[in-house]
Amino acid sequence: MQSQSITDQQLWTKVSQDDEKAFRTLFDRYYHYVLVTVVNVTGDQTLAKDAAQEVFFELWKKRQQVNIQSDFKSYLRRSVLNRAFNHIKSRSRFTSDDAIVHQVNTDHSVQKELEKEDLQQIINSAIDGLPERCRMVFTLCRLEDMSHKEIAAKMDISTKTVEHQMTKALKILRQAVAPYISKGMSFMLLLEFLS
Amino acid sequence: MKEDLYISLLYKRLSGQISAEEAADLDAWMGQSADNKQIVKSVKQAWDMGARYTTEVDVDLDSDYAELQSKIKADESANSPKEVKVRKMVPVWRIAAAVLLVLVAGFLIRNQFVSSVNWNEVTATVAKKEAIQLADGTKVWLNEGSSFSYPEQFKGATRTVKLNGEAFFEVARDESTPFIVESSKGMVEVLGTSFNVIDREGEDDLAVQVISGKVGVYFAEGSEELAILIKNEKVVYSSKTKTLKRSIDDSQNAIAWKTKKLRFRDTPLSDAIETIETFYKVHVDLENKELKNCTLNSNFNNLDIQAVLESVSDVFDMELKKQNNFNYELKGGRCNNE
Repeated sequence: MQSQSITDQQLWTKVSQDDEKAFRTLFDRYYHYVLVTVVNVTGDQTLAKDAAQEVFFELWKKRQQVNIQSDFKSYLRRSVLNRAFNHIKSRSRFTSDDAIVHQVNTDHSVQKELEKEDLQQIINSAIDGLPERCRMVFTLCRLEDMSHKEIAAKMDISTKTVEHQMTKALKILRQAVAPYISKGMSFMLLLEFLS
Repeated sequence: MKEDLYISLLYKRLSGQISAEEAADLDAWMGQSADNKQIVKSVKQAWDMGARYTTEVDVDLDSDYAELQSKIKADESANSPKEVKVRKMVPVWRIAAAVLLVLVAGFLIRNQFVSSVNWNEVTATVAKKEAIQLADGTKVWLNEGSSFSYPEQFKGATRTVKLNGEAFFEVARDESTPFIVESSKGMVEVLGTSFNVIDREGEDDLAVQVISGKVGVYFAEGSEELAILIKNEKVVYSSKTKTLKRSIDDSQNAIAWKTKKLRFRDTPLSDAIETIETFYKVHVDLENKELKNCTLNSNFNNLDIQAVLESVSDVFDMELKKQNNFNYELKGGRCNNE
């Protein structure tokens, strides 16, 4: 399909000239990305879909007014996260902060050394299982590279709370990963950190 | 716990915010034992890999684009100066309660069934992997032993379907036409998107659990009680006592039959065993009754019963005995206090 060779900027110019096909192409290119961005941070697929639909709706509606100079992808990312936060602010609650979730591996007989991909899976699962608020702080920090202040502002909490939640997340995650950090593994890890 | 303090310092180091004094303190602690070094290694691993976290999201681009298109068109016609507007358009993504119809009795809905549309009926002898797709795009997954009726087309002021048994619904959004599930004991009106309904023959209860979005539950007779549920809320209506019991269940275990995932967070062991028994259709005997209230914190994704029970027996130092494919015993053991 020719859609691969045309740049985002070119597509956007066409969209601003009412080109629906170009709009569809942009949608196909970035809708899933935008969904994943929100789900990674919030764990909420419904919210992600609402935010994603809103972003594209507004893009089309304001196609003649909006001038996207920067990277299109980052524009979408910022927009969709902002919308997601707006939705969250208008809701009242997060679920309980108290849960601690352990990950269970299927093989107990042998202390296996896992491949890196498997370890990533374990961490991913552990992050899935974090209490809602804790998870959001962690993903905003590690995935969105937000500072304490930014996270505190977006989530309407204090920076102290941000620190507390990060410590909590690391504590839970390290428990998930600890059984697999054997001496042999750690040697490989040290090399990785050094490089 | 002391460990918390040092993990907090480690976090400060990793995020570039540690003071010289704190750094010295941290290094000293690290040097104290191999265990401490291990802790640091695993925290670093978690920090590093945490940045590569990602989730899997399934999306149907065509279907979602179509939804987007209909919103755009609705908005365009609402704002078009040429058209004579009959109805004011409401923004379609506010997750707010729309105007709720208070239904006093079931027969109000039943009268709308006077229509010439064809009805389809589906019965599931085993849990269906694939969803039934309705005319409006709603998807329905049936659990075993359930039957479901729906019209080929939705006409009229509501989208009504009938259920006997258990099903999981993902309702297509259309705030102008409420989606209603009728069961023998009551009705569920959808304001949001996905929820699980259990209405079994021979049982007095109607159970509704919301997985995401918002749902309003009305009952056909007696209590007229209205409950609005949001994500993770569950309500059980007893047609015998005509009362409502609300609770929160964020384990999502109610739809384990569909997702194949079981989650336990601070769950009393006896409750967890009950859930496991229901899900795997086996009997598990807990020999040491003193362990009934020990808490279990585990996730089981797509595992077979042997793996699940081995893991549980591991957590509590128990011995697992398999009598046959349908009977297991967990012997001995102790609560672990962490």
